Amino acid sequence: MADAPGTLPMIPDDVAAAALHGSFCPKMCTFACPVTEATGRDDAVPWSFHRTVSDLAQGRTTADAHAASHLEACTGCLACRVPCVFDQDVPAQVRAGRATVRDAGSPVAGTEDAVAAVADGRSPYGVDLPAGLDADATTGFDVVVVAGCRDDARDLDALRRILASAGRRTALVVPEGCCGGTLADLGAGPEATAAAARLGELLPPAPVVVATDPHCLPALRSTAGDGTRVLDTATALVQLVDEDALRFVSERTRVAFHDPCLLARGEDVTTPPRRLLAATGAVLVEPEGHGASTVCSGAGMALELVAPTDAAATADHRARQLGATGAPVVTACAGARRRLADAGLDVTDLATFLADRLVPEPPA
Amino acid sequence: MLDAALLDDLAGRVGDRWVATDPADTANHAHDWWPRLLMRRRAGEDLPVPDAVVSPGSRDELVDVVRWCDAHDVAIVPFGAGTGVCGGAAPVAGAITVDLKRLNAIGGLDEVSGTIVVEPGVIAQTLEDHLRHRGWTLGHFPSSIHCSTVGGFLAIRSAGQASSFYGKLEDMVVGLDVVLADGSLFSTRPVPRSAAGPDLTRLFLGGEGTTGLIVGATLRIWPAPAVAVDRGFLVPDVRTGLDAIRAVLRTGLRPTIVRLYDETDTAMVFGGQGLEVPEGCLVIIGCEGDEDVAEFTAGVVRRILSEHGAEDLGPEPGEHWRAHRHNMSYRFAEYMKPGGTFGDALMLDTMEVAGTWAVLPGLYDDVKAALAEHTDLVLAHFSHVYPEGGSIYFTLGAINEGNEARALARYDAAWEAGQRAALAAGGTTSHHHGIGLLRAPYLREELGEVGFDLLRRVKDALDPKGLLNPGKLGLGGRGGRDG
Ligand SMILES: Cc1cc2nc3c(=O)[nH]c(=O)nc-3n(C[C@H](O)[C@H](O)[C@H](O)COP(=O)(O)OP(=O)(O)OC[C@H]3O[C@@H](n4cnc5c(N)ncnc54)[C@H](O)[C@@H]3O)c2cc1C
Ligand code: SF4
Ligand code: SF4
Repeated sequence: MADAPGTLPMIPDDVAAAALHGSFCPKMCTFACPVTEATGRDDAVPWSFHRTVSDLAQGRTTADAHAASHLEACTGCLACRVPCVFDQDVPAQVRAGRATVRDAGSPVAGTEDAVAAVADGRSPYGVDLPAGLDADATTGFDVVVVAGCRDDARDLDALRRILASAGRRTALVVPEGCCGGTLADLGAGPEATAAAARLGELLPPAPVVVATDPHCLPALRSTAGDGTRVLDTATALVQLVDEDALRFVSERTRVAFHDPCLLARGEDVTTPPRRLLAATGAVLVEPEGHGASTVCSGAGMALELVAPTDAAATADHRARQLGATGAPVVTACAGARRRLADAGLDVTDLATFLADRLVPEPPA
Repeated sequence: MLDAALLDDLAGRVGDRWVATDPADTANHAHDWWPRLLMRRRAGEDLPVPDAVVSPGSRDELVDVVRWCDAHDVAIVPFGAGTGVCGGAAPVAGAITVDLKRLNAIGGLDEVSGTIVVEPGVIAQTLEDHLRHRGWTLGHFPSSIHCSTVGGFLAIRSAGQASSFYGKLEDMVVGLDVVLADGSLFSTRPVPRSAAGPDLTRLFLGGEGTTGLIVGATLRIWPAPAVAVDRGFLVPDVRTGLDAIRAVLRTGLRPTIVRLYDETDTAMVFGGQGLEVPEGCLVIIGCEGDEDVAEFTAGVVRRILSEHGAEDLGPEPGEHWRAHRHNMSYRFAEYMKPGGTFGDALMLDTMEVAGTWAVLPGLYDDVKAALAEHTDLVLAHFSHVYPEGGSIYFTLGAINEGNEARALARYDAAWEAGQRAALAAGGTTSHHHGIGLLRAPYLREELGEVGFDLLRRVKDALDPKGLLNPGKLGLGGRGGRDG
């Protein structure tokens, strides 16, 4: 893990330079940060991460438990990036900071348990994952569905039913614990790389890989072979609607869509889920904070492992905004669905919502 | 230094995690956004940190903390977001810094009266987003709306970019809740106007935490405007621009955005966009409201500007300004960081002064000349106007080629010269940034001997032990940490 005992791995120069820059910014994006808003923690203000990481890089602060505690309260939602004229990637700086404190022997809370769980083939979130590879053949798939470490069997099954109804041959791949994304978020870089490589070995060849959890997209893109398109659920399914391969029973249900942060801001995917909902006749009620301005449910950067109380506060805050619509909520991120359900919301995964509205197959 | 047993007692009141004492945990509160402190940090100085930072989670907890401080003679520095530019939230030796960001609830929206109740820790943009989602606006748009708290803004008598229509934040206060130095809670009755004795809210608006801690406010709000009609003009010089703007205000109409840039600032605006720099001064006027109201106001503005010989530049300059209105604030780091755009040790700050229309032209000339003595660049625009006068916002910069000591010396000299010039010209030393530590040396001259003595007596009456934000506003007490 560490290069040599007693030596700190350097925070990469470009990350250190960006953090130093940010540490002189007058905290401009504070308004955007959902964790600051939900918890009032001063060290959740995006600027604070710049300062901590910059001070670590310059040796102005010690890589100890104090520094680790100031690298907790980020959910990786990228909301701070939207207004920032310098396109700062705060989560990348937090990851680098977390890696530094871990190498110095003071990981952020929850890291070593998560690493151990994944080494054991278990979800770092303690979620019971469905069985490993589930396929009726080993080759010839149109789509490989990759489960996230917070997915549940019902939502995965729903997605596969939709794909099957569009005539797609699918395989379901469940990573051995984690795609590596959660470990990378915790600053466990080497273990994250190893987890991603293991997942790569599990993937059967297919032109399309669908990540049910947007948090897995970066890891899958780094492991899936060239020529494989790695897509989120909504983007994959809307293409089938465009091809007229999917038909839904039309029902004028009021729903609010919670845009997952990494989908809306990381992938710029806000229209596909809305088009899918519209295809079922659903009437969309937009909550406060939607589209690229969505407000995080606290599901990212392993916040629920690192700082569970803050993750819960962030979810509660978002649940209040969504609850104010008075409509049931649909989302497209397993982590968000769990967080919001824990906060008391009636929330359904997009795939399950759609699968429940598929036009039934005519009897054979 | 605070006693460990005492701090344990305090932690018992708000919870362990909300009391920080280790220097690694209090470093975020070592400075606010006073450029002088940032320059010292940039120079490599380890700024003094607070002895403790306490973050109460509710009004009751805050009251408990203040009572505890009163009982144990512990001083308090209120801290919102730490983006004040005068050192008002800078730590004080032997004091605890009380961070108010956890008190950030947005309460009742009264759509009949047009008011909203807020706690002090709400970031102003969060409040604005909340209101816009419901069809309303506060109308308070400072350049720091994205990063500063409502409590901080109230404490310094802040002004936003649309103050010409909506007023300063202090004008929007319908009711105020304040925790006094002994922990008692003072609340004004939320009424539109009153003649029931003096307006006691004024003891706390602009008090910068030296007279009490603001814990809640009822603020006036407006229906969100349906349209904005922005337009740019070019006038031959500053004085013509001021005459034209005054004439607009005298019609009784109130554009929301009124900005007049002096020649240097005009050159920066056009040059910064890669446009040819024209002769003269840029004026931007924005009219908002229902379409008929905005269009009518814009029509009158066009007529009056034309009567003053202005060239109509069309909507583009105003629309560009609106789209990039916070850019300078976002770009601050690019200039100020070590190795910034203008090299190491740049000196950069802003100074906002104000005066009546009669005073304004002379105030502009005198302050600009005074600042120019000690800096390499002085820009100015007039951006908050009222029937009786307006404010001037100077940006001052000096390149120091890595010499941080020189940067600080020039900084101090420029402030001394600029502030004294403002007073001599009959203006006020601050239109909306407040006093803090930065302007403390000038407050006595601003208020006069009797005025300053009155302020001190008010302070003594409200805070006999001198526990609230000592050293700020030049009110003495336990002394600021910034030498
Ligand atoms: C880039 C930039 C642009 C700016 N533009 C503007 C502008 O356009 N208009 C404008 O008016 N200001 C502007 N400012 C100044 C700044 O926004 C204000 O000073 C604001 O009040 C700071 O709010 P804060 O929450 O950070 O307060 P702090 O800096 O934390 O505190 C400010 C002062 O108020 C006291 N205080 C804080 N909260 C309370 C409370 N609840 N009760 C009592 N006292 C309290 C503090 O002790 C301190 O004295 C700008 C600042 C920056 C950095
Ligand atoms: S990524 Fe999201 S949670 Fe993290 S600092 Fe930025 S806004 Fe806050
Ligand atoms: S992300 Fe951008 S806007 Fe936010 S603090 Fe950093 S530099 Fe400033």
